[in-house]
Amino acid sequence: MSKDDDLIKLSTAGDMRAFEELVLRHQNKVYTLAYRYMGNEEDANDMAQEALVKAYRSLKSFKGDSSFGTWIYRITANVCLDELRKRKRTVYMISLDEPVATVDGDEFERDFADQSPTADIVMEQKELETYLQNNIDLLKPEHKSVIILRDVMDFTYEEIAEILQTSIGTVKSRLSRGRDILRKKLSERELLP
Amino acid sequence: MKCEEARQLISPYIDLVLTEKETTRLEKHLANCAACRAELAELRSLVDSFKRLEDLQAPAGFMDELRMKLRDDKVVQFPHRHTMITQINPRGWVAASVASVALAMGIYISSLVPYQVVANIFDKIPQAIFQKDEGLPADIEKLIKEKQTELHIAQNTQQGTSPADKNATGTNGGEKSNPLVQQPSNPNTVVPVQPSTNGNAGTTAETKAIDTVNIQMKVADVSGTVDDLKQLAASKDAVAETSYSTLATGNNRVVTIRVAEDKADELIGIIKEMGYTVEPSKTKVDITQDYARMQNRLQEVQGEIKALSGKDSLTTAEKDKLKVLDFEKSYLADKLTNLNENTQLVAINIILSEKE
Repeated sequence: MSKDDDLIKLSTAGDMRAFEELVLRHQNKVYTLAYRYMGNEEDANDMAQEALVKAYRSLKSFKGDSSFGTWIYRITANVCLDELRKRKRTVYMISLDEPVATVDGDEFERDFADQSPTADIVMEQKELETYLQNNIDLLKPEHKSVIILRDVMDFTYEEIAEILQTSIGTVKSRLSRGRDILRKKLSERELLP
Repeated sequence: MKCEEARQLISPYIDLVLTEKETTRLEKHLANCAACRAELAELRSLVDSFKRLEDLQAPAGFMDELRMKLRDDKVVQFPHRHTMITQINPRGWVAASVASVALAMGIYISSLVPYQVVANIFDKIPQAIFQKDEGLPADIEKLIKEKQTELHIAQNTQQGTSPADKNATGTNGGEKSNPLVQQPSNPNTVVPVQPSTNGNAGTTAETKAIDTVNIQMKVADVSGTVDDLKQLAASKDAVAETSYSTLATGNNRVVTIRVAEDKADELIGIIKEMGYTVEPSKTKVDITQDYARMQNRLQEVQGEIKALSGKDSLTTAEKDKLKVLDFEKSYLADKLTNLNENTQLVAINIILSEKE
């Protein structure tokens, strides 16, 4: 099996099949990353497609400083972040018992009670997934981004700082803050041991 | 270390990014603080739960969708593109299609000078040209081009002037001008047609028309896009000619790609992907009249050549005249062949104008 590097060379020379092979290798991760950001299938699909088209257009600028995977996930993260910023969502959550509940980045003001699994039920994989995703969706983009990039995608602090064009110190504090919000949320529900 | 500071360090502690000194201090605090230990345990559990998340599967058809997007992208990867795509509204479409037909006629005129113009040129070819043995056709072509330019100026002036203005500026005031010297208002009647010596060509002529599609585009780099379009035409075994639109204003070029009917739709699709400002319009440009006039003139020329050739001796003037007639004959024969070929092809006119 060819290495990513060989496929990149062929793709840059116009070999579409080589590029398709590259996509096949990474499409699930790209899609997953987009889904974690966007929280629904339709947006995830759109963002993943946009990221891959962008990657194709800028293949020539890929210098191989990082792995192809890192490079393409970085593009995906940025595409998603741009979209989220574009939407300028100031309202992150709408609950059933209050007209509008917001997250200002400090506290969750309102629970998503109807979607939370009860404490005495052992969470199945699918439930955990849904629950975590719902909570990620409620975070502000800056907290969401660092958690997805670090905890879901396993990027290093340095890589995250580069992707988000920020300092390592900021990554560290945002990650700490974002994780703490989620921890409190899950702890209240007694979902953490 | 206080709890407040310790809690700031728990997250990076999990990621093993604390300095050795920070790690030692935090661990010392944790050994003595149950609350912070509990928080560490919860945070670890949270991070672990993320690790338990599995990758999702890209939806079915993901690759097909991407393939389509990349194919389109490849098509539009022309370096000089940067076109402006605008939404088309129904009212705009009607107005635009009228403009488009006018443009089609303008282009048609520029690529096929009504024959009478050419005939006049042949009459006025300077004697000096005939003293050279080579390069005559090029010289004649040059003259035709010059004539075309004059014609375009006349047309544009005509269109930009209202009848009232014409009367006001005319030397004869409201007096009617001679119809034979009046500038025509319709490109298809640019030059008054002299009565044919061979009788009524128009009534017996076979209908000839060229299927024409007009695509208007605004681009940042006009000449670069011309090159792109030429390359595109070559890749589809089509011929591209360039000209200027007689009716469009500003920096513009018209690229006419003549392509076989079965390849036309594909090519139009590709060009549309490059972006356009008005929905492409299809028209049939009728060339029956012009074709018939040229045919008639060819017969006249052949008759004159025959008459001159039959003479025992020719004066210098007659010899020159014969040369001119020979050129005119070959010019007409070429044009007619060309036109016949063109009726078998679809003409795609891409009207390029500079984006502001």
